[in-house]
Amino acid sequence: MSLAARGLTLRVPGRTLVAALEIEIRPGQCWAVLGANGSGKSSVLAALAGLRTPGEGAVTLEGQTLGAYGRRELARRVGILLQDETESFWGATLDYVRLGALARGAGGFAPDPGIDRDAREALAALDLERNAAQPYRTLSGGERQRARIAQLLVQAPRFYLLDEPLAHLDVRHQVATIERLAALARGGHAVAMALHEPWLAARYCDHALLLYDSARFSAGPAETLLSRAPLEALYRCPLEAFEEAGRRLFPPVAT
Amino acid sequence: MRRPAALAVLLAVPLSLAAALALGSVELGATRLSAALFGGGDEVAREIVWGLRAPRAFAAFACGGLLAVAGALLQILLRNPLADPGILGISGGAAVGALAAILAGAGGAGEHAAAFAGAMGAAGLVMLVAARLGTLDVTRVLLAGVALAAIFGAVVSVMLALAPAMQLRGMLFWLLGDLSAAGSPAAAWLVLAAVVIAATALGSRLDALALGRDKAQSLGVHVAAVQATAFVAAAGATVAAVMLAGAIGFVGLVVPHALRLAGWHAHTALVPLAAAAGGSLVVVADTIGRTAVPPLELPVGAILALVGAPVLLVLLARMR
Repeated sequence: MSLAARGLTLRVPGRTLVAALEIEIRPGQCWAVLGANGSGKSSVLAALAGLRTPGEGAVTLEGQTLGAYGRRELARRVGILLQDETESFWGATLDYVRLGALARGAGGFAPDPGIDRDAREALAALDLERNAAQPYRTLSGGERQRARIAQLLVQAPRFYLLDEPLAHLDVRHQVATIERLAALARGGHAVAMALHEPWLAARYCDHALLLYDSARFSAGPAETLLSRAPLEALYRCPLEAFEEAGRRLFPPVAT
Repeated sequence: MRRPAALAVLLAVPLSLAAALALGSVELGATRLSAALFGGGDEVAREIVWGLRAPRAFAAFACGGLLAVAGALLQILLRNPLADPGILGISGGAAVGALAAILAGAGGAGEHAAAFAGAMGAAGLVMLVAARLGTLDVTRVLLAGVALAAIFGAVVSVMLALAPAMQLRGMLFWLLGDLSAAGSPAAAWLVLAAVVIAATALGSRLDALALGRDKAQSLGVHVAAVQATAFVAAAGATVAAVMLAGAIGFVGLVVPHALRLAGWHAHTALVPLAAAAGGSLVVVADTIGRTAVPPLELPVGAILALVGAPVLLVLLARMR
């Protein structure tokens, strides 16, 4: 059981983002997707979710291309947190989070108590209990981000793809959120998230995908990839490396 | 949740229709009226109530309901709060057809046929643009509709400039939205029922469209199919409404917004309530238009804006 990219090539007009990408994401794994701005992190995640047609190659789920799955079937297996969402939702935060259950085949006329319970649990997990009745559009940026993640928890896919899940979050919620996501992986889900914080990746992720500007990539265990030399090459920026009590930190060198 | 308020909106349907049957330029008096309402009483009163007022009231209701539902669908489909049925150029196409027929001296039937041809032609053109893109590219459909509406607007103004004074009044009323020449509302009611059922059944999949194409798709929504269904429903509703009463503006834009501001955002509630509220609003506006300065009739479109716009402003001011 895995979600895999097979020779995946993604292009935008005038540029190849990634060429012949090969990765295999398995339940129980927590992947960090790292790269500079514009290196293709979002595009790779979108392609893995079936939202972007590959230029070449394919994305497979359990050995079959994503196209072989119905949209609902796919949504029950693979869920994605997008970087931008159109914000024209008029309802309360709870209603927004409940939309995660669309693929369950419910969403009919009768309110489903199971979905309601799941939605409230997800809100509680992301520290949004007091915002349940608040109109979604009046949430702050960080609260919205957590509401989106809560919606993904209600969707409850096997494979979680997250594009910058920590964006807009304060420190406390960054830690709580990434711990929650890492716990999902330990609990038998698969998690792949685009991050801009290599130290958080080193602490919470066991695998890493580095996307270089030149459309090259490295994929593998976090231990080897999340070290000074590969990260300096990745960000084209001199970094320092500290290791203390098994934790690695990579602050940029002050110039 | 908001059961009592929703009930009030639904209650407006029988109340507005009853008012439209009871009021008119001829005062019937309570006894003749109540007898006629239940099929008894004298023949003149029965003919006034059921032969004249009822078809017009039901036409007004269908028209308002269709436009409000079409507006709700287009606003979510095009993700643009200013979208209304006029935006697809359908009423413009119908106007060109109808005005050309009036200009050519065709009678009511010819005018009707020409308006239908114009409306369908415009709807077909917009759908062609949309379908050519494979997926519904929101911005392009919007711009195509705007371009079509501009062309039709230009043709309409040329025809108005060329029209002899005799025909100008009829043409102007058509453009303002006028129910006095509405035919049988039966077909429009069928379309209304079909559109409300189809759009309500799409339900929370329409809600998900508000989160954007990619998010909706990742939640398991077949975005292209939902968009196509909603688009055809909106176009069909607009054609049916325009055929009854010409280009009635305002309802399609304002009624869905008013309902959203009042707290109904989920489309399973928004669509049926838009039909009820839009229908009742036009019935009330038309009844006012018929009775305010008898025997003259004021155009229903103008009354609608005068009644509806302040309501929207109040709701906007009260919005948190």
